[in-house]
Amino acid sequence: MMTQNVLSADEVLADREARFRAFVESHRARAVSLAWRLLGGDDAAAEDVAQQAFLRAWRALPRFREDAALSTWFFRILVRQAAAHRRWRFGFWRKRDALGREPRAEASDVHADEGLRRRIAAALETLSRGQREVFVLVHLEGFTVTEAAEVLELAPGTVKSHLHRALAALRAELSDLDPTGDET
Amino acid sequence: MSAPDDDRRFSERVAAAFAPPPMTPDRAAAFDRALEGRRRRRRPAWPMLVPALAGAAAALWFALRPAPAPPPVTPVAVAAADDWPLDEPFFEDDLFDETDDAAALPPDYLALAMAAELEADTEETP
Repeated sequence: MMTQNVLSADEVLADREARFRAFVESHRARAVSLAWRLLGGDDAAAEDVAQQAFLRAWRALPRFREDAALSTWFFRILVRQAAAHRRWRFGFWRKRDALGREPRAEASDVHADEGLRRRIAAALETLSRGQREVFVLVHLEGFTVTEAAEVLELAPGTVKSHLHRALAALRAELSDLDPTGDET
Repeated sequence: MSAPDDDRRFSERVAAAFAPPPMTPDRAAAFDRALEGRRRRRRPAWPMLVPALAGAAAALWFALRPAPAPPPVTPVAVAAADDWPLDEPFFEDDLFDETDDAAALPPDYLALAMAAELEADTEETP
C-alpha cells in the first residue's frame, strides 16, 4: 500500500505562510535598518522599501529551498529597491524644487544628535552608489566582505576597493569623528 | 595612512550616530500589519479576472471572426435598350463617300457656295 507523501494545496500554502512569517520575523529589523541607512535616514521610505522587498520575497519563496539563498537574494532585492527609490526621490524633489515648494523634513526627529545624523547622511550622499552600498552593508550593517559581494553581485576585490575609497572620503568629510583626530 | 583599528573605530562611531530608531514590538507589529495588508491586496482574486478574461475573449472574437461579405454587385443598366453607335463596326467610308464631294465638305459649304453663286450672278448682270 502506497503512502501519500504529497502535500495538499492547503498544506503547501500553510507551509509557505509559516516560512514567510518566520522569514519576516528574522529579517525585519535588519531590512528596515539597511534600507534606512541606504536612504539617508528616511523612516517612512525605509519601511516602504523593506515591505516591497518582503512582498517580492513572498512571491519568490517557492523558488528557494534554503533560507540562506533566499536571504542573500532578499537583501539584493532590498538594495536595488532602495536604489530605485533614491532615483525616484531625486526626480521627485527636483521637480518639486522647480515648482518652488518647501522641501519636507525627511526623517523623524527622535534621534539624539540630529545634526550629526544629517551630516553623515550628507557625507554618504557624496559617495558613488557602489561605495555607499558597500560601506553601509559592511561597516554599518555588519555584513562580511564575502556576503556583501554576494548581495551586490560584485567581486570581493571590488568590494574592498569600494570600502577603501568610501572610508577615505568619509574620514575626510567627517574628520571630527576620526579617531586619529582625538589623539592629536 | 589609516590603520585598520582606526577604520573600525571610525565606522563604529558613524554606525552609532547614524542608526535607525529601534524596532520596538509596537513598530514591528505595525510593520507586519501593513505588510499583510499589502500582500492581501496583491493576491489575484477571481472576480478581478472576470473583466480581463471577458476583454481577452472579445479581442479573440474580433481577431478570428469571418471577414464581412462584400456588398452584392448589381449590374447598372446603362441604356441597354438603345443602340450603341460604336457597337457596330464602321469604316471611314461608312462616314462619307469619297465620290460624294458634298459629304467631304463642311456642312455649311452649300450655304457658302450659294452665296458665292449669288454674288457671281449679280456681278455678271449689268
